[in-house]
Amino acid sequence: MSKIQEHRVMLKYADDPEQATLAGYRHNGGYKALEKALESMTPDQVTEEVLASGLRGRGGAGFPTGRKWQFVPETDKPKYLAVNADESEPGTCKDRQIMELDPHQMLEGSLLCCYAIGAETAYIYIRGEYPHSIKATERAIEEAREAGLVGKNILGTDFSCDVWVHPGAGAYICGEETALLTSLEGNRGYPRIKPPFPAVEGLWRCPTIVNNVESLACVVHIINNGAEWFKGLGCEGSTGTRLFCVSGHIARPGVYELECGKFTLRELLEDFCGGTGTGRPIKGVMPGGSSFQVLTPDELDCTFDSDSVQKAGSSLGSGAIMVFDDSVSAVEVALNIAEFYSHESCGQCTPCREGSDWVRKLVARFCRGEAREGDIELLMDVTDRMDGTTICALAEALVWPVQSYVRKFRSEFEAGITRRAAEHEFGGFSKPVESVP
Amino acid sequence: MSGNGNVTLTIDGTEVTVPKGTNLIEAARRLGTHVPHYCYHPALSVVGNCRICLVEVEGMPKLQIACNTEARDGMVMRTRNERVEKGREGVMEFLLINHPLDCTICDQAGECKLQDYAFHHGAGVSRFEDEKVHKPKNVSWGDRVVFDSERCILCTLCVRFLDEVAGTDEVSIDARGDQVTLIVKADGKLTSPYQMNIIDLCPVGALTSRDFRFKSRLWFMQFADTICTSCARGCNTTVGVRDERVLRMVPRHNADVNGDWMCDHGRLHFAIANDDERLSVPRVDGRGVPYAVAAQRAADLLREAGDSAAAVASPFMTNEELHVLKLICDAAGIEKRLFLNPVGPGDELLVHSEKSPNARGAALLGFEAVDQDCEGVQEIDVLLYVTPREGIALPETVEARAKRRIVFAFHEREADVLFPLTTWIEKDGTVVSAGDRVQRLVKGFSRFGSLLTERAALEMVLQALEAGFEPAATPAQAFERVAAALAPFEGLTFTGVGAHGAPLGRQEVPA
Repeated sequence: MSKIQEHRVMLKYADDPEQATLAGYRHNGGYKALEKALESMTPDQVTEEVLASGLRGRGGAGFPTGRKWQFVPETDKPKYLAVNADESEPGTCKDRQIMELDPHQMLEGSLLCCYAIGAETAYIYIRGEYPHSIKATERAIEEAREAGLVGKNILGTDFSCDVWVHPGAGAYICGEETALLTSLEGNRGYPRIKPPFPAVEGLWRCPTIVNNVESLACVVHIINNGAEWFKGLGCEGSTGTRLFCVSGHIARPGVYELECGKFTLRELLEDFCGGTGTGRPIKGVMPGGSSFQVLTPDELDCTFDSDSVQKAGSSLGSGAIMVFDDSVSAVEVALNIAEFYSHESCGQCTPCREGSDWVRKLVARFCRGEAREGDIELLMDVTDRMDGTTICALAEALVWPVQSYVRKFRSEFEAGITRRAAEHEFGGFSKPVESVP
Repeated sequence: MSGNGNVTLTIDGTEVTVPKGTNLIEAARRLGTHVPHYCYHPALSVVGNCRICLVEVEGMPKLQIACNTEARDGMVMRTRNERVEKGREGVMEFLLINHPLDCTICDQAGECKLQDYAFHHGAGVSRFEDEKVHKPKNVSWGDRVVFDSERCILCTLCVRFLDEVAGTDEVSIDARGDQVTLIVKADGKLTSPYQMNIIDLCPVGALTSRDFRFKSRLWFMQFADTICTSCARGCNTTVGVRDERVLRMVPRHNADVNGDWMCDHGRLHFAIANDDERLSVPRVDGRGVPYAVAAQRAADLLREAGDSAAAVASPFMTNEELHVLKLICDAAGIEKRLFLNPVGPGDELLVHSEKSPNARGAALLGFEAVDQDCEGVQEIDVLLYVTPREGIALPETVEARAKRRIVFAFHEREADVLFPLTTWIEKDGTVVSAGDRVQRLVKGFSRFGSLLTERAALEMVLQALEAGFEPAATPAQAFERVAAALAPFEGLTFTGVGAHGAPLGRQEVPA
């Protein structure tokens, strides 16, 4: 038995088939936080509570949620909440759990946010490939509307808020908050230049908060139990519980709700998740989705929390932990990542539009064993030139992991250089090495 | 530090004060420093996608795009150093890896920002050895614009112009990543009457003019900074000329008149200048004669007719030409001084309802606007008639009211004295455009080598009427005579009008 235990707060009632209904949700204490906030708290007090809880955004960037809410300016313009439910970071499947099993939790969190920031409209932008999430969320909104929890004068107070579902159309980039807003407005999902930031000028140039589903689910429990209670969970910098999606070569894959800071990454993977399950050792771990650096087996002894994993050279990102064992070619993984991002580049900024596919072509050369002397340096230089030169972070989401693979598995890349290909276990992985130019 | 809505910053070691809200490209422009840019245009929204305008701003860890960075008090910005150049070199390399590099057959060569910036900021070699991305070429966007997707750098200037200025929002972006291409919505053909502006806006050779493409290399052409004469707006233009032929006309920036744009109708309205069938010598009774002979004959007819003559001027004439015509009327005692004033629908952007460049000038010089029925002209002895442009003319029935006719026209026709008419690109002079703005026409070439402008021909007629008259030696002198004769022109000089025009004085101008 592992010393690590799940601590279920958000997923506490996930196994209750009635939890997705309004009656079931209310039976288990649902909408108590909204009642409490509307009856006894000012909007600012809600924001203060969230700020004090130390909650950091769960979409990947980890920005303090309360701070974000405070950026909304005093203005006569309408304000909006856009719920980022466009969960599409490879390996990530946690928001789906909330939306399908406990959609009212997200809805209640959204209403609390709207109350705090003074928004009367919330849009839930759900990944188009999540039809069940869309259906469950729409059903929840309908039920809530009939019960007076969504719409005019919620719970008999002055607070009015309407909530709408907007399905995405299949672009990864629409999970980037400004692209999500452009898409919501009915335009091509292009990220926007910042400043202005969405909290100041977002949807239709009005102040808009974009929050991840899980972040909003946390807000419900912060209001119910207080900031101090939330801070008592997890550790400093990673307060509360977090959902993690473990996948790949792992004996016990799944979505787990865990407190950070109580164990190491290695303990999580080898004790709690039972190791690779293939009988082979771990070769690499991507602890935060595909957008961050890979960690090698000797880097897994960091404490499992945002700051420690960052110090180890990666990030907990969106909470997607992907594991592979030593049967996998690191170059092939890098190619898979490059293929994904070059396909998902929106094509707006020059370095990302042109560079991402160049990187893919270069990595593919290593994969085929057709790379040339100097190609490693070229790959590093091309990726360097993409880093930090674009509107959004998609270029970095390609550059950081690919560079980490080159740095940490350099010998495999070297083996992809033509004349050495035949000598190495993974050289010429996808194609025989006959085609010497 | 500076108040009054201004900020002071340091650019490459030099301090400059600019209004609050100015971006770094414009701030640098104040110092004459060019920050390279593709996707930025001062009249369009900022999208920051090309990434070539990278500059270094002290205190910011990454290079910043100058187009979307606002100048702030105390900011220290560098537009050129090793780091900035490396950033730009990177962007240039990315722009060129999938570019076809087909400059040798590309119309844009010579005025291509890819060429210019590759020369100034590029590495000069490519490290890209893989297969380039192939995209649609020679795509017809209708009868005026041709699109080459492989040359396109996706700056979206065309998309934004059609959306934000022309208001038709008809070009969109399709696909993702390096497969991205532009598409025309609806049936794939552009509809905007301003669509050809996207050809000028395109910083590369992706959008070419069906009318101009493959006609001439830029460096074989000569250019005249003049104006368009198809309506009273007087959009400032640059006309490209080669071998006595107008090859193209493009808008020239004038914040007070047309901004950076012009309508397609005006732009394409130069066929008459290239017409080989045009009249090349004056004629008397159908026979070709020297100008002096024709002028003498015209003067004789007018002197005999006196008050029983009528003059019908053209609002396509310059002020200087109209002024000489006025002097002829004075000298011959002609009272009926009219001009045909073509009108038609205008729009809210540039197209004016007055379909000529100088109705205001004609009115100022004492000519009365009439419609084609010309009620004021009944039985007369002599009609002195300067035809407007093709498609606009007095009906034959009106002309037939005169016993004899002295006519300025482009083509062979019935007349006692016939002078060749010249086009706007063959003369120097001024007009009074909409908004009572005096603007200059600038001569691009002389057709047939021997054609005289209407001013010169009319001056010869006037000389034949009045022995003491001396023709103006230069366009500037001709303008001085107009200015001296007309109170609203007070204070204006030919050089003062310059390339961008100048507003008339305080006096009211009759409509």
